Amino acid sequence: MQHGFFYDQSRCYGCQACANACKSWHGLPAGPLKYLRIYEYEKGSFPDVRVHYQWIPCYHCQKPACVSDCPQEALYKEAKYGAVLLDSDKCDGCRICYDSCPYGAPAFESDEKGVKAQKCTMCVDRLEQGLQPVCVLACPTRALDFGPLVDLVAKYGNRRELDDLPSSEDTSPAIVFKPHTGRKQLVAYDTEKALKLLMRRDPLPPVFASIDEIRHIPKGVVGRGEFVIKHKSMDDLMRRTRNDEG
Amino acid sequence: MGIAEQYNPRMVDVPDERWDEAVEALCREAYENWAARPDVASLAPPNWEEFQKRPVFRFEVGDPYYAFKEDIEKGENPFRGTESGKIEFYSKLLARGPEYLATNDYPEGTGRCYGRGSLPPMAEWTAGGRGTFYSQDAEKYPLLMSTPHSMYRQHGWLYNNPLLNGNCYRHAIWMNVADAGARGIKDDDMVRVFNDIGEMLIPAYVTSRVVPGTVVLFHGGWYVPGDQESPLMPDGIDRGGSPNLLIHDEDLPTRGIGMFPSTGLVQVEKWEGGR
Repeated sequence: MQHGFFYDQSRCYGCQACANACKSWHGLPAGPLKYLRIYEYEKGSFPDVRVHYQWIPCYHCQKPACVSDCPQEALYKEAKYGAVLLDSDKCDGCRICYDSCPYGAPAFESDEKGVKAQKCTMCVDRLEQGLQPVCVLACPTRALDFGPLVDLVAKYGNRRELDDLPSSEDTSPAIVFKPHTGRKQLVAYDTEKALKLLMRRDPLPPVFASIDEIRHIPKGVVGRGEFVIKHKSMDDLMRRTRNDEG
Repeated sequence: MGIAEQYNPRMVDVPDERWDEAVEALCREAYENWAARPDVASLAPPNWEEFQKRPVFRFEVGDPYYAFKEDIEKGENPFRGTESGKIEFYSKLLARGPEYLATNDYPEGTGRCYGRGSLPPMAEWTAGGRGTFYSQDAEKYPLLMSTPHSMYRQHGWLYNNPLLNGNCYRHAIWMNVADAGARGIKDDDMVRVFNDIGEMLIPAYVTSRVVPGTVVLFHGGWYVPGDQESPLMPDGIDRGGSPNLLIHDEDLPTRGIGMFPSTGLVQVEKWEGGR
């Protein structure tokens, strides 16, 4: 039976506990070999700004593009839990799976050519012992859940896509989402007026020349200004999945 | 490593699935031991199950507590530490000024304080010190730097832990898009952060999550002298991102123990000299 994950984006605050538990359970070295990544990016401008999180392990798709595209037939769909697994004896490190996967789930230790892919195993070893995947257990806000996909759909609804994530149409990932809640302005104030007040600092020059300087954000200026799911290099992956928050 | 056995022996072999149960058993035992104490048992606390449902335990206080109770019951003056032996709204000691306080132990044996600021003898509103927008320095150093706590360090402790740096955490100065734009700075550019007492080189973290006109540098960074030297930093411009180097302390009052200035006015400019 197809098993899958549930991710509650409204609870996640990007603490990386799941990612650390994953690394620890699978004995992965420090560095870019990450079976699951947490991304953090901001949208909007001061003061109407918000941070968003994305949790990307392997979603163990029901129609996995990596499995059909792998020339070595190293990737396969396991029968009992529907996990997408990798036979590393067959893998030759061509990285076609990385290009096929819309989520960039296959992980690599470095940029070197021929480095074999590795990936999230859905913790099938733990499932066999009757345990949950380690990331789900590690989550301090209980934003994650795991189980047969039909049960998750019954429990959490059938939302299969999130804003900013690639479409689920082609690969049918085994994941159910709860999106973050909308931003609420709890204290009513006029943003325009507040910014104008903030701008003034008589007798010194204004704090900023115009409100447009705050609102107009050129591409590449803000470090966490965009969500990029696939990376040109492992350096880029490390930079984007690093938690700089203080 | 044997640490868990010493620290919490009963949790050592608990599997993840039984973790909550084991924690509850510990809490329950602690609660029941407490409830069995003669002084508590006489107040008839609820049992564990009831306490779980309504975790509030109210009881009558027989002998209410009030301020200075112990001194008063002993017949001692609780204000014997002041010069007048009374509550002083106007402190005669503080009125003697910072010089007196910096050269005399007061009360005897408690040592001196070496802060250079003065504390008014009577509470009054002051416009803040050199680390605020009210300071004249704001003309030259228009950005207000605040220094919150980092979740990667306990103050300065763990700052040099390699596992909590580099790929994991980038120590950087946070600034708003508007302030960065006006200075031609984008995220991860090296910047020079300076004022009249210190200078550092550090990457910029450009974000909309900081109020324009302010910058944020998480505290606990160590002074790491770099190759570049300047008249201000003859031992080397800081490469470690230590906010202490940029914070004035002359407003620290002579007797104001417990006050720590943690903000400073700074200017930021793009650094073209490489990383």
